[in-house]
Amino acid sequence: MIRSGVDLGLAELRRTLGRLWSSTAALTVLVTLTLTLAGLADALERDSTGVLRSLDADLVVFNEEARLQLLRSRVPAPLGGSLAFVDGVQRTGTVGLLPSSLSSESGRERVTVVGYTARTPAEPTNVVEGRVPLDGEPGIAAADVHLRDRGIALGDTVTLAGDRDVEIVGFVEDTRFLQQPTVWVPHDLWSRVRASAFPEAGWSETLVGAIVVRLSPGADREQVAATIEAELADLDQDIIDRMDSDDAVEGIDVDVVPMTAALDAIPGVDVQRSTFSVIVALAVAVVGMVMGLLFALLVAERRPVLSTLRAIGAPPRMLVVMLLTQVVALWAVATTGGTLATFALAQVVPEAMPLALRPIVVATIAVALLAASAVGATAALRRVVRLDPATVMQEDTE
Amino acid sequence: MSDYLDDGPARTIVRAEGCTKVFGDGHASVTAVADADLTIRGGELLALVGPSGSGKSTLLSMLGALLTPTDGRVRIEDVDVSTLDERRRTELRARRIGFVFQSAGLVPFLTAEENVATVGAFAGLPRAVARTSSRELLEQLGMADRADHLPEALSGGERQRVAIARALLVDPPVLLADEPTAHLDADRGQQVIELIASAVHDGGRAGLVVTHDPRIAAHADRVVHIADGRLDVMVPPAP
Ligand SMILES: Nc1ncnc2c1ncn2[C@@H]1O[C@H](COP(=O)(O)OP(=O)(O)OP(=O)(O)O)[C@@H](O)[C@H]1O
Ligand SMILES: [Mg+2]
Repeated sequence: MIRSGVDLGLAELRRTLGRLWSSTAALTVLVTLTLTLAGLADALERDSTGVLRSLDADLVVFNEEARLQLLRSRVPAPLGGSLAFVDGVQRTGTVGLLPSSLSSESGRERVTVVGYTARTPAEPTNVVEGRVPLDGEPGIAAADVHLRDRGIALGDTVTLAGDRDVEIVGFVEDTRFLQQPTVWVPHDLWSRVRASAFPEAGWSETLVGAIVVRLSPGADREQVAATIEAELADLDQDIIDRMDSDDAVEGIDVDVVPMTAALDAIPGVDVQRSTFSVIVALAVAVVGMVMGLLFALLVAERRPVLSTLRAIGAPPRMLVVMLLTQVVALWAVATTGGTLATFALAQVVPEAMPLALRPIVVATIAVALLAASAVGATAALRRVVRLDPATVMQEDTE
Repeated sequence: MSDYLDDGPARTIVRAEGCTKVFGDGHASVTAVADADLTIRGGELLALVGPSGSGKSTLLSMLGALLTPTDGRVRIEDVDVSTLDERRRTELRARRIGFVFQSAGLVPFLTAEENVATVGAFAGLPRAVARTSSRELLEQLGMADRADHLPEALSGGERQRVAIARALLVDPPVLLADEPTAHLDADRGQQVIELIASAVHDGGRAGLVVTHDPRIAAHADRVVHIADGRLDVMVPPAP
């Protein structure tokens, strides 16, 4: 029995399904397109930034010349320790990144070798199988699960940079860097791999990539960052002396930035995000426009009966609710259909296309689509509100 | 003029005094109804007859709280309609006025019974009451076996009967019909006007039917002529 605008709206949808079928299909395709773009953008970004996101750290310290580039940053390892005493710092660790290669029975592929200090904020947190190496443990490594998908198993021995054999003792998840899988090793092994890869740079155990800092609860990010920069700027000479000064320490001017800024500084992340944002926003806007058009037509077509309803005493609110119910119902159907279609698509696209759909992405896009649909339908809603019941005398519905 | 305002034995339900409607302003203004005085008592069916464009629909709209008079006033029972805001006029239409239009204006995606019962929601009629009343009304109007049909499956006359049932659901004191038989053939038109007449007479309602058709007007207790927006002679019903 019809008691409300919701009932009215649903009754119309139920009994005129055939008529709405093509519009719903079109909307579903648009939603699929939107979700595919959003999922692609999200996966691209996550596969660029996994290496840093997998750390439980709040700040990243780069040497200034590195301009926030992980691959270029070089800081003396002992600096990490000296920061542990700064107010607001809970724990520090160091990470170094090195583009390299990994050979195994299943072939050779490009990887990023990550040197890190175990049991510090530099240790990857998402271990999905086995364990990660401790400092100084020789000849072992943890690898990104992506490599497990490529056929490498726990206990396998693989070769890094063509000449370093390591045994895989664990797998970590979501740790890629610039779309490449990572291999996590203790710093000393990392230094040796680096020396083999870049013989001209020489071997040094004390130069690492960047320092990562976990703050004490309640500490102010900006303030701690400023303190660290200041402390390192006028570091005691004797600390500098203790730092293996033969190495090309490029001064100790550092950039201390929040994790989010470090993520944004990873090459491509910024550009990709802004490019995809515009495209996704356009797709969302198109959905809103199609909704708007659809409901404008629907209201135009229903005008005589809507003004009859107004004439015989239907409050405008009820008709608005009726229309909104239909907007929401169409949105729900198209969003559900689009989500399922995108999931299906993600299963069949080639592996080179990193399409993945996280619930948060689906939720965000769904909300954006609902908002766009509501905005798109406002013109139709306004027309319903402004419908003059007196026009019923001029209407001829037969 | 004052004859129209005479209160007879039955209670006056609709009363229009100096009711005027001007559309537009300046040179382009049209006086659709000028200074109309009119009363309709309970149980009385009035036929409003006049040429096209004479102001019949406009007058009916003012009596039915669809249009606000430019001048003058309209009272329905104890309410001065001309002073109500849009929300209250909507409420008044839902609760006190039954409308039957030229086109039935049924909701195409609701069954006959749903079309009738839905009006209950506008007037705040309890669900169960709306359901039983709509069944009863459809039965009285000979539409019981069509209750579950969508309007597209009904003939013009059947649709108009559903519209009458819809107009009567909340048992309104006023029933207004604007050329309810225009789309029907003579026989069906006759049936529909008989239903309207009995709804007015048996229900003690104030009824007004706009028509071109003298045979329809014959069912009325009084015939009021309108020409160029002015109410004219009162003609006794044809024998
Ligand atoms: N909304 C409006 N705006 C301007 N003029 C209007 C409006 N509604 C009616 N009119 C004019 O008012 C006059 C009376 O119109 P109305 O519809 O009341 O006539 P009617 O007697 O019902 O005619 P018909 O028999 O053709 O239905 C006409 O001249 C018409 O053009
Ligand atoms: Mg008319």
